[in-house]
Amino acid sequence: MRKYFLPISICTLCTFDMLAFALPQTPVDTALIYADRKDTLTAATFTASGPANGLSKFKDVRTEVINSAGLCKMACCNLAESFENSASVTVGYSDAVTGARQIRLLGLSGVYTQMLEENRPAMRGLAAPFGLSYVPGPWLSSIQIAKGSPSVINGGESITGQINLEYRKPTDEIPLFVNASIMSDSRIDFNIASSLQLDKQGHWSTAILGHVCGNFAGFDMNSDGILDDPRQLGINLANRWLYYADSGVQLRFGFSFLRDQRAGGEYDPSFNSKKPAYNYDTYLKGDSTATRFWGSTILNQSINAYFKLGIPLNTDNSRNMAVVGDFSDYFMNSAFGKTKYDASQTSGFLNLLFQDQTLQAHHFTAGVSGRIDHYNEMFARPMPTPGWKTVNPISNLGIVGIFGEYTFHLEDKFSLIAGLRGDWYSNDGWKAVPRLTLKYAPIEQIVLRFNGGRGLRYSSPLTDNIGTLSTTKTFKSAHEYVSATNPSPLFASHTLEDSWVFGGNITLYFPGFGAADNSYLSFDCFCTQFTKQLLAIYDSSTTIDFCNPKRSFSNNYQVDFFVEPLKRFTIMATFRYTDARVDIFGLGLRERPMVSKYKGVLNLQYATNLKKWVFDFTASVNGPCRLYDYLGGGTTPVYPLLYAQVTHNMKGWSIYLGGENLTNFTQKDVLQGTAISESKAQGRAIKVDPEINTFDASCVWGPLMGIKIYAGVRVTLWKKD
Amino acid sequence: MEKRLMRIIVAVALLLCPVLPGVSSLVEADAAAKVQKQLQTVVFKTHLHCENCVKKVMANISYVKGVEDLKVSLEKQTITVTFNANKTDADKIAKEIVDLGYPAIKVNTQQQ
Repeated sequence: MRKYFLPISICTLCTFDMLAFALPQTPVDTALIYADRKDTLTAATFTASGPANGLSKFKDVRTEVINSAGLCKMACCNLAESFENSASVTVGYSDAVTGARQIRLLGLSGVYTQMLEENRPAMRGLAAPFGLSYVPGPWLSSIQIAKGSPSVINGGESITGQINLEYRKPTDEIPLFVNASIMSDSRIDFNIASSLQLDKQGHWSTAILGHVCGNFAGFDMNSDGILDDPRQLGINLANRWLYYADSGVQLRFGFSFLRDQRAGGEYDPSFNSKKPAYNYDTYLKGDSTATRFWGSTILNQSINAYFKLGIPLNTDNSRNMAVVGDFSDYFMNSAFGKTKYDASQTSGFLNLLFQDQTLQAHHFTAGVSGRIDHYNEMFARPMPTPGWKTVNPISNLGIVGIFGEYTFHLEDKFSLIAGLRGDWYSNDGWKAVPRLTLKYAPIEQIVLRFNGGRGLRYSSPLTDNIGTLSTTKTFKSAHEYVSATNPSPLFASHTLEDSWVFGGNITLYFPGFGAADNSYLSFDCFCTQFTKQLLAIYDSSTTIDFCNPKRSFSNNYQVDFFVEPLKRFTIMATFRYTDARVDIFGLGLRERPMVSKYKGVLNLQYATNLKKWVFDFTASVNGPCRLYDYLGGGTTPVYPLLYAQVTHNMKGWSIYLGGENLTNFTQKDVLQGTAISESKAQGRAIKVDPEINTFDASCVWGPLMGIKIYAGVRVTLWKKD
Repeated sequence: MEKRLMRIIVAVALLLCPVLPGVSSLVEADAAAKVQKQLQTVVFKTHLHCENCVKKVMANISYVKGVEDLKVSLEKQTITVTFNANKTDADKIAKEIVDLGYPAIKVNTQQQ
């Protein structure tokens, strides 16, 4: 029996992890420890048996789960690409230069979605615009997208929902995993992961994760004179540890490091290979005799360390406490034409929780938490009045609070989660964040959910709107130019954004329909209303106005359908409709620009017996968006996107070949502005003049590159006895 | 546009011409192989603790030479393997399971 002790102990830990997936309202660290409960195994079984992408039946908040099989449906080189086959989350480029990807959940920017890494808040502030590209897809074991107002335990920053990322675990019995892929646009990805159990008793285990990626060739498929994707070289390293004591005490800690360098913009057409030709110093000198290429250079670096300590307080682990700590340092050095933006952010987070689950029906969680963000920013940009504007704000944003959450479960029929936070914000005083979740399943085939509450977050205006830097427009603050009488512009301060979200979901299950028992049809409706928000308004041809709108809301409706009509053949169809409007002073209530009105996704998957061959096909239709006023209003065209992939699985390894954007649709006229004069255009491919303050490279609503073909290999070495 | 489409179709057809006889002979060979398969099903009693164990068994035993079908039951604690007796046998499969760290006690074998 001793022979099987280690696998069993590892399974026990894995089961705790899965329990954490199954109960998003429950903090990982407390839930994980409290092991030998009867529901643990059940929860684990359900988690792994659902579709690769699909709605979770058992979660109290409406949650879409993308598991490891779902992450293998597409290239999914990074987190941003993992959402391509989800209608809940829309992914787009922030601009045509930086390669930064932004998501939208419930029709609002991804900055309003709280990102969690194994239930620790992540990708905040400076890390937000590029963070999605910095999470390698092969590092992940699953993603959970919770819509609406989730638990108060991880802070009040969630406005439209939470996206929780679960990484490969130290307890995974995979000592070596390697993934390498190459794309026709010259993007290369290499990932390695190793999970090692260091002793027979299963006390110590670790996961080592590595990632290198790069774009080594330049393309200009839409012939606008700037590179479609920046040249890039990125490296990520992470090391995660788990210590599990016989007493049930559990300690998780880890470190990660990231460095990413990218350069985009104009290329010199006199060279055969398209290399970024921009140099900040040369461009700044303004030497009119030399050809001056516009572009951007960005260097992002970060380090992160965290720990989670869980301590059981009684023998059956139903009463426990946990401490979660996180520290990160993030540096961003960037230049966009004549604009310079250098910033650093040092953040610390501490969460102390107590959880009582001694009564089967009534669970209580209470705790205290604190967060500090120290920003040091240097922003320099030419402005008409008073000429150059340099701001060097140093901000210390602190939040300290207490919270409590009560959960009532009436078997599988009904659950109620009522949470309340009281937080002191260093610039804004005390604020309360109440949240409520109800779930009712009158019969096994019907699940009804209601969810609502408040969300508060400090904006980070320049990085939340990183696309503004890819323009040469003049920045205004609350409709006024920055001047001696308006010396502290909104774009250099952190507004506390305040919102309420309410929504509901009904899911109908059809057990006898199709080859499996997991067919469902689901309807969602979520409404987000801001009472305070900071927006960047791009509607003018020469200015970008940072202001607080009078009113701002977004209503979202979504239908999801999943069926397995034949054995191993699955169909997932989903359609989302968004009505997002904003009332800027003087302009009235108008449709929010660059938000697609609808999106439909159809995913078909067929696998041969034992999944030796897997065929995936995804089609999406992207609805129109309102264009900026300076482009004459109107809407963008409706466009389709097609993806296909074939995967061949063999013992220990798999190979895949796929294509993206198979309809070869690309957005034309990405760059907006005044046509470049003949004298300036000599020796350049660009058609608009980036030195005139009408230049805008941020108006991106569709794909910048046409068909992309990729191929990759995954090698998995499983642990042997 | 139509001409272009026609050209593509003709080009694809020409490319496939030399391949198709090969493909058809492969299909025939595969069909013949299926006829010769001696399928057997064996049930092993095992000890799986969680869904991760199921995943590990599926990811490994599915691709063992000769395995034609596999069912792993966490509830019943069994691993049911259908295999081609010309290519492997129950003992070899049992060894593969044991190598993964799980017991494999043969409880039933059926000829198909």
